[in-house]
Amino acid sequence: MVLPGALDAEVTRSRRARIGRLAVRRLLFGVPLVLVVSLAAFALAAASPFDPLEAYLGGSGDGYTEAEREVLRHTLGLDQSWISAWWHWISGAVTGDFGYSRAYHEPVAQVLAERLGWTALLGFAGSVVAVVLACALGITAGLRAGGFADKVISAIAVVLQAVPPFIVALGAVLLFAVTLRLFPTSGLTDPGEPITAASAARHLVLPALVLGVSQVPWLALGLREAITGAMGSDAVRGAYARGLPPRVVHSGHVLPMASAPFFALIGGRLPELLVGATVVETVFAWPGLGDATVDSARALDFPLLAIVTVLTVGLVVAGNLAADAAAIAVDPRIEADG
Amino acid sequence: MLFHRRPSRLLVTSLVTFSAAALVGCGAPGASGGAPDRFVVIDAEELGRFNPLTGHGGNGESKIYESLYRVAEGQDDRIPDAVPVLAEGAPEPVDGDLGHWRVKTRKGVTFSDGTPFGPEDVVATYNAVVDPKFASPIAANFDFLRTAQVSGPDTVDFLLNGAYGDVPHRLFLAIAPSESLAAPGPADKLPLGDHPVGTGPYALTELRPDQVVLTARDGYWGTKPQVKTFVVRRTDDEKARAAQLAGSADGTRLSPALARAVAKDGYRTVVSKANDWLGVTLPSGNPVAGDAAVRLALNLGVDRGAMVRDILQGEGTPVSTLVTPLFGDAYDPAQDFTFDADRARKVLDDAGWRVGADGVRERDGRRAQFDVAYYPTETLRRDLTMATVSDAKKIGIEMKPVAVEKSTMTPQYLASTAFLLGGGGQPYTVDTQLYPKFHSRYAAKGVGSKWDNASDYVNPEVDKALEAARVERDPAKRAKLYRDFQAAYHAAPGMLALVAENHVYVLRDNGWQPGATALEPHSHGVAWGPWYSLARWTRK
Repeated sequence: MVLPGALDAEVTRSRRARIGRLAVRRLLFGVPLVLVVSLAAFALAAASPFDPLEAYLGGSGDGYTEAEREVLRHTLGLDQSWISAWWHWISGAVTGDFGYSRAYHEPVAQVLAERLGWTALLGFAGSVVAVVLACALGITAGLRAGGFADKVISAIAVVLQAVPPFIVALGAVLLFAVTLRLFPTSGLTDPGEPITAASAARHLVLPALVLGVSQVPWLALGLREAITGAMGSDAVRGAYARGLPPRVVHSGHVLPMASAPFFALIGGRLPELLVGATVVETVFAWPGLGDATVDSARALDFPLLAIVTVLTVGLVVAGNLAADAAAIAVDPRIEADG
Repeated sequence: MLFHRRPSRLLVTSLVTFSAAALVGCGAPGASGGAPDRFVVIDAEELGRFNPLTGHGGNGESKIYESLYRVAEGQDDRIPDAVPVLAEGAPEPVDGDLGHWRVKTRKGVTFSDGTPFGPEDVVATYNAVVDPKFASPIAANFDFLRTAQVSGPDTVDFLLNGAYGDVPHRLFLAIAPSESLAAPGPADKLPLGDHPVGTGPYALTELRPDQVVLTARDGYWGTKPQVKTFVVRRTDDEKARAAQLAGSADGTRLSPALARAVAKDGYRTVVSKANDWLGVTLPSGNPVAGDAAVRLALNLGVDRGAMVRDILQGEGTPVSTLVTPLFGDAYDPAQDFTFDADRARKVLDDAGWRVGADGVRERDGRRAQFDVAYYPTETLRRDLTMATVSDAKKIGIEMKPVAVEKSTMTPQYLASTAFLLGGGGQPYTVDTQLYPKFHSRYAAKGVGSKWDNASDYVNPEVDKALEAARVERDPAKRAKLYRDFQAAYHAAPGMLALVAENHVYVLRDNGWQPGATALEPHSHGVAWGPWYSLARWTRK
């Protein structure tokens, strides 16, 4: 005779163990992935039409002879092959030296220290906005599929999906910051003021809203699909047949069943958040890594480009891991990586 | 990769209109974030990089550093004077030798870190910029300089690579303390970039990834500026800049159309004359583009006035010979090309280029057709290329536009392909504008940069005028020699110069009286425009 409480604990323990095993497997898989992706980043960058010397010379490269250009390339270490540049980078990175960023004229570690936190903050705030809105809209639409609310929400999501994030961002600035003056237009603080938690929060609202809203359509529509799918399942039909009230069916059956695909969707959409962040950071002059990504690609700034790529890969792996772990936690039937 | 879709033209237009309406709608703009002695601007360039060797303040526009001389403001109908800053008086040739010049340095000046300024700092900075170990991106601007030496307690000697007449207009390099340049290495790794030390009126008090704050410093040798704090932020997208202007910023640079849309109610535009020119190379190595009659006909057959009116929105000037009204007495308006398509057709007819069945001319079985390469990422270059192609078609010449990347532009490619070229990096001597562009020295393979005389143009009369002007110290005689150059070039042009664009800035009218603008080089940013004279602004 096993007490119900003990059974619960047993189940929780086994789920924890499964999540732990999953995490270890993914991390082991992540290391070769990072190596391969960083290698690919160097190879692709080298094959691109950009020239790091042109980036270094900026607008003042007109007066150099070809011979002088070669000397410059050599002095700056731009004449090595991409594979040796990669080797140089990876052997430095292992010892904690991430190299020097040509695009920013600063050590890569310093660029990261100055910018990574701001992008993380923006990304986190943006994802909270996105998930909360997507849950509210997706659940509303999914539980009343075909109803008026569903039609309106789906239509808005489809339209919003078609508008480039750049336009959403600029429109938000013009409406909320310029016309209504509810929020500041840009930056971390008002011009010339020191950074405080209060000022950063005030300046974060609008970019986070824009970033979040730009991610909502996919998530909301995905959740709606998952819910309508669950509503049509045998388990849910059986629950209704047993005469359980709709509220109990929704919270006990439908939402847990729909949450696994929803979590997977969130995990998969994480990199999109980075893409969105690039645009949002440009419009709001938010000093994150989004801008740095584009700048480093244009300038063929290998060390910075590589670390940004690796961080992106890490985010994808972590996002998918978190999604799968959450799915295991809510749905006992899932066997990850099985 | 992370590239977002470009918004369509329609959307942009509606946004511009909307933003203009929004600006009008919000009534009088507020003061600059409150403080009356503060001015906030948005730049398009990367923040930081306050390093003279990587080009910061290269024409005396820095607020942190000073140079021996800077460009005088308010003179854009001639080459502006070189105003002594860290120098006392003009440079003098030693014993009349134009290859050896002496400059007296100012006494009683200190750097922002408290160390005294002296001739050794000038020498260290100039020698570093030409030292290959520093790999300075602006070294090529100083190819006339062999070395600099301290020649007394407050004098510096410049030893050149040959005789050169207009040295005063070449000594605009920002001066750093010699201690900061003691260890040679790639310029972009010097600590100066983030920790500038200069003799200028402002010191860097904050450098954040999103903001730079410059503060008027005590201990400055000159008059302390009235604008106490200068805040610089960065946004590279100009539509976003226009939107932010309405928020908490006081000024920025915009394209002419956008500037006009937002310059209402408390904002106004300031236009700076610039020698930011664009033109098409017509290489000798291309049997059509390099043909004398084709070169002349194209110069007569393109409507430069229409390009200025329609593409530059009126903010620019037609350019025929690279000598423009900016160069005062050296400029001869009679040698400019006037638009005359009929005469262009006659020139081609007389040279035996006959119109074929499809409207394209032919001679000896060769069609009057060649490619013109351009960088598609810059809309101005794209628009000028298309306008040129369309004008050329009207006189029977078929130019085919080809979009290229910078890496395509090898010397071999340039030798036979026409290209939409931009220039005007250091417009403070006529020599820097003309000599590398038209002297036949640079027509030879491997001489100079690939951009020097990119059409491989050879004209002995042009060579003669340019050489004589280079070593002529008397400004009146020098101007006459440059007028001779224009006459020689006009008779047998070597490329197709088109237009020069002005730079347009927008600023808030908040009680400040900015000084006049200075003639600007190709580069532009918030160090230029009305902010060139920031340290000399007064209250209205």
